[in-house]
Amino acid sequence: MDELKMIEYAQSGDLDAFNRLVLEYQDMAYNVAYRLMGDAAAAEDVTQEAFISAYRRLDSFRGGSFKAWLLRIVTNAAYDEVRRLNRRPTVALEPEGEDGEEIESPAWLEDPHESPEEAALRTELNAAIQGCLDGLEVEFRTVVVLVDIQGLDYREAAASVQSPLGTVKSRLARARLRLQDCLRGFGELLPPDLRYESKGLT
Amino acid sequence: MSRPISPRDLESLSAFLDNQLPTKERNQLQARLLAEPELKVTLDDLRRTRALFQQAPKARAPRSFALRPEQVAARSRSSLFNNLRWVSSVATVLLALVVAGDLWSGRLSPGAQSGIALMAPAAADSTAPTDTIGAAEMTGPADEAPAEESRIMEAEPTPDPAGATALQVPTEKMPEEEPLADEGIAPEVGPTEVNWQRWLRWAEIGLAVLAVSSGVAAWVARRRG
Repeated sequence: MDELKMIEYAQSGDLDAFNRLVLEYQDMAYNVAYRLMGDAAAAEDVTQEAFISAYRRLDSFRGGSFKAWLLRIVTNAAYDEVRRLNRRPTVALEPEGEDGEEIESPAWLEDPHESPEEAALRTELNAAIQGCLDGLEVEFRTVVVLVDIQGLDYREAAASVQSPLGTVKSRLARARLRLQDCLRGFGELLPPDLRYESKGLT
Repeated sequence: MSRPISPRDLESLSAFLDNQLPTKERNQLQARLLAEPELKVTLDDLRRTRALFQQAPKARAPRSFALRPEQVAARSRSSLFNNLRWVSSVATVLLALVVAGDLWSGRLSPGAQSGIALMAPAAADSTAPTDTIGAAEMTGPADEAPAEESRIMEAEPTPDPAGATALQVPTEKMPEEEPLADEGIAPEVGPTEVNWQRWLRWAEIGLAVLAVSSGVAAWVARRRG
């Protein structure tokens, strides 16, 4: 069954059809929520809340990109949560175990083909990337997550954040510059072919 | 000689990377990239940054987020709460408008404060004034009002006491009374005005009851939801 049919069935109250859409998009939604929140538990809550909200608002979907429409709900849910937790200090990438010790790496980061050293490097790099993202205001973080991490084009990103194309373009450029300055500090951690040569603009 | 990188240049370089520049701007930028090494270095750094984020591992959903029927049931409760809340809000706003309008019209009408029925404002607003009333208007001042009242009272064989108090405000029924005016009979505006005021009271009471009851129902719906 194609996506439009599933959306139609879901709009008429078919929960199974909606859940097929959920299964189709849940990785994307969770990844966006995770990158915006920087915290696995919060991302889980945001994702669940976003899908419930999407089901409630299905009538408001009037065609176009369902992905962009869904991501708008996810980013709005994340914005609300980020603002609520605004005063909370940055949370470490790794979730904590029952004893309060950090687990080495979340399950989705594990790769059985990697050596322990490679896995550690990858985890550290991922933590650096997330740390730099967390340093951006949420509006800037969102465009980087949508365009660079999630691979949306400018139009889809603009639809998702409900901003003009020019705003997305401008935010993305400024965010990239700030992330570049942040990542420059992790020199040796970066893959050799992606290490910066210049000293930076700022 | 290279120019410093402006925010506009940065934006163009970023859009250039994503192939989002119009052809003309793209060609111009490509020409500048050949002539300005600083611009090229900035572009390469932006390309590395973008690549780092493109290659960042994507988080996978830790569990299924498929909705359960009980979450769907919560949807209808939530909709009920939202609808009731909306109804309560609209009723409150309408009530405020009606009460404000009521008070405002009461202030404008001197009869409402003194209890003395005056015809002058009604005549001034009427689309079918009688000759008598028109003459009263020409004399203008408020002290003409009692004279007008007496004329109206003469024109009504069985004056309604309630109607007498209601002669102060123009009525919506006046156009229907044009034939009477043509015959030199003063229009009977009193009962209509009384009805209008009654409707206003009922509207105020109705809106108040609706606002409170829907507000309470919304609160109950939320507590149960």
